[in-house]
Amino acid sequence: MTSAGRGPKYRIGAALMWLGVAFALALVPLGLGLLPPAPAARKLAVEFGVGLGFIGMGLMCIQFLFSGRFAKIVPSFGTDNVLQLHRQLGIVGFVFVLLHPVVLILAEREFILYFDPRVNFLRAVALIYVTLAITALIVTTLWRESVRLTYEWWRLVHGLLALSIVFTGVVHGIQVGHYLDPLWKKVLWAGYAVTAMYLVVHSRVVRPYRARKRRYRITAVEPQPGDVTVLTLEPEGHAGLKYQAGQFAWITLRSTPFTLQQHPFSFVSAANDRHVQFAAKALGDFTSTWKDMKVGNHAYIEGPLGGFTRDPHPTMGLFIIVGGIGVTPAISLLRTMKQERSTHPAVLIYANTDWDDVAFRDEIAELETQLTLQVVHVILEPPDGWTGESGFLTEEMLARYLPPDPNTFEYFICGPEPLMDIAEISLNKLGVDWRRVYSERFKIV
Amino acid sequence: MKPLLHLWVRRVSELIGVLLVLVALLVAWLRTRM
Repeated sequence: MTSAGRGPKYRIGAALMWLGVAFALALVPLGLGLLPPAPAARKLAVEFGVGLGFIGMGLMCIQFLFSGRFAKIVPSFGTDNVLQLHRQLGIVGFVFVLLHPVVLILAEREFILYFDPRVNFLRAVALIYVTLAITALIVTTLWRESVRLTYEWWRLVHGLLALSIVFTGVVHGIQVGHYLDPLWKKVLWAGYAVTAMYLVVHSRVVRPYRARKRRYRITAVEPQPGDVTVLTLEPEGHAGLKYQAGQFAWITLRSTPFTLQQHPFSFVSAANDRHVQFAAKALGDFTSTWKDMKVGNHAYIEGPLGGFTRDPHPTMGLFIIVGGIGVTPAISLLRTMKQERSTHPAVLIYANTDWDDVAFRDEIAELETQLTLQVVHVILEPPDGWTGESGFLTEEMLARYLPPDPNTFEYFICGPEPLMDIAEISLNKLGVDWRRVYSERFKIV
Repeated sequence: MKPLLHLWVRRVSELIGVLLVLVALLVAWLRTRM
């Protein structure tokens, strides 16, 4: 097979299939409500308002499918796009859930009594709670930093709010019961929602718990320029894990105040290394503790995850655009190429603010001599006498290093938001097939 | 400025939202006609 003949990893067919599945699953509650015996129809606006509620519930439930770490759907979209879909469909679900009472109240004023604690105290409290909770869910996610919520707290609050909203929705549906009258409908309704809720419990509780049975030991703690710390871990009493270059894992480090928390990090080590390595820049509370880790400390890894990976039998060149600590998956990709004695051409565009902060710069210089690799450092504030690229990454700059036939390469982009935006848009303008452009954004919230 | 794929994901989500509203309307209308 020629290099240009191999199809891109992202496949529209698979993506459409998953979207179709999501669409169908979102309609399950409505379908259940309509199954005979269905009650006699009321006026159009009431029927519409009720329909919005059922679909809103379906949309909330399918969010758990996207938010959990489900390896199957990632290859056809990429982690990045799955999370983006979760975010956007979550907003759609929010609109449905809010429109449900609004349309009903506009249709018939008596529906406002559902919110009146004097009529039914528990019901009113539950509905007022859901309205506030789903609003809080959206506000804390879209404006997490403005409301000064740390990532750890956000993650906890997000999961708990989502679970409580769906739980209240289940109870509300059963309590109103108009469309869920026979018991079997109520059972299926609850079963649907409980299955969805289990997905989040599975990814937040069950899987981390299983990962805890497979302990790793820190065997090296090494500094890199730019306040970056590299941790090397060896599996203890088990075979370790198999992963591909470019993937990431959730890490829990013992001996930090974050013992119960998991954070996602890209592997830095090559795919076939026995040990695993991760690198972090001291940017937040958690990453600032990395430099104080000691050899012999323990860690737990849950993974691998993510679709920021090459074709298993790469036939194409590799074009990597990274900025700052976004270099970590690139190091894994390049180390793996070296391990596999790859002769495919590779280009690394690596943007940093200062030359002194360029993590892994010695190793990259070495890799340049060992691989068919061209390294382009882009320095925002270059030192005196700098002759390389400087300033922000631009389309013109990328055009200078793009291969003559850009679609014989796979493109990997990882770094700060503005860099990723400009890289993705520029590659598109320069004629690169979007299906060959893989990006990884961890900063979704 | 939003990246291309994210814009695409956003449009798909909006399209799904619109389609679902239409489904809700259609179902409501069909029920009132029955």
